[in-house]
Amino acid sequence: MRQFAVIGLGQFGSSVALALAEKGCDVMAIDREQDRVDEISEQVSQSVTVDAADEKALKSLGMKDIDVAIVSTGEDIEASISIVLILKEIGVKEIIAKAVTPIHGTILKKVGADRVVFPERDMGERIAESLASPNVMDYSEISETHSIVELVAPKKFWTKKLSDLKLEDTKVSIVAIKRKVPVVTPEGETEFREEINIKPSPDEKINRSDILIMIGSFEGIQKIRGIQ
Amino acid sequence: MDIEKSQEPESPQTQKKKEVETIIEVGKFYFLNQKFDEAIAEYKKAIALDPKCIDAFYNLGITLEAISDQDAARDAFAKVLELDSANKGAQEHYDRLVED
Repeated sequence: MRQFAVIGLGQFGSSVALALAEKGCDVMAIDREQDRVDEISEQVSQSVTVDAADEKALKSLGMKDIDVAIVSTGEDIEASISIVLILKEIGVKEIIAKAVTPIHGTILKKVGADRVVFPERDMGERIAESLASPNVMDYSEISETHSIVELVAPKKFWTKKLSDLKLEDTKVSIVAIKRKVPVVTPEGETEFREEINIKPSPDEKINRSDILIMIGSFEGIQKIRGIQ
Repeated sequence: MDIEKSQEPESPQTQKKKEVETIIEVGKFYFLNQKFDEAIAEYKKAIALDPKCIDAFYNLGITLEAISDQDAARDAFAKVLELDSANKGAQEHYDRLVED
């Protein structure tokens, strides 16, 4: 089991720590504010109140065995840079750091972060995408030119087979279909169950309640989003 | 005496209640057969007859959520909670839709 350390228990850091702990991972949660540490201490395997930007203090925690450290003191730019430097020196195998601006991200990479994340920017982009097009349930960029989207099946696609959609020209692939299947509960209530069909066959027919998970170029996905 | 009683005409309220129940059953039938638009039309018919019908709003919410009409589904579950604040099912659906 990989061992994680999360440094900085704000909204982002505590969410990451709790999600990892829920998945059964070993998590050391660190913050300089006692209140924040107390809030999470029962859910994670280890919690420490310490100013992680203090080299001596951080080194005393015995973090050599940590596989991945997540530095989420984003707003405190100076602290995040110092922490990344110290973690690199300690020899933590992988360092992921949260940045708030592109310049901050560049600096974090230069001082040794293996990966830099921009949660606010990414979330902002996702929200903008879903607001701009209510049919987009989720959106995530996988490169500068390609993305994955979850799109409510356009009306034009209903009852058609995948092979009839002629998506080849758009360079977009439907990699999975999320389908809400109506069911009756043991109590006699109507409900729906969500099923995911990974790699659907070309003969698969699209339903009214389907959400298409697609991967492709921005232009291709844009074309499909324009279909009513 | 009993026979006479059973032949008494139903009150307008009972008749309306039965009519609403029948419409909801038809809606459920459409829903289970993935005829979502038809199901929605039935539930709306039931609501027009009884604007306080929790069952109709709940089933309308389920159907709207099934076709990913998140905003309208959330409004339907909010209406259920307005009429019955202890409705666990509606609360679960509502919370999930708000999170999304």
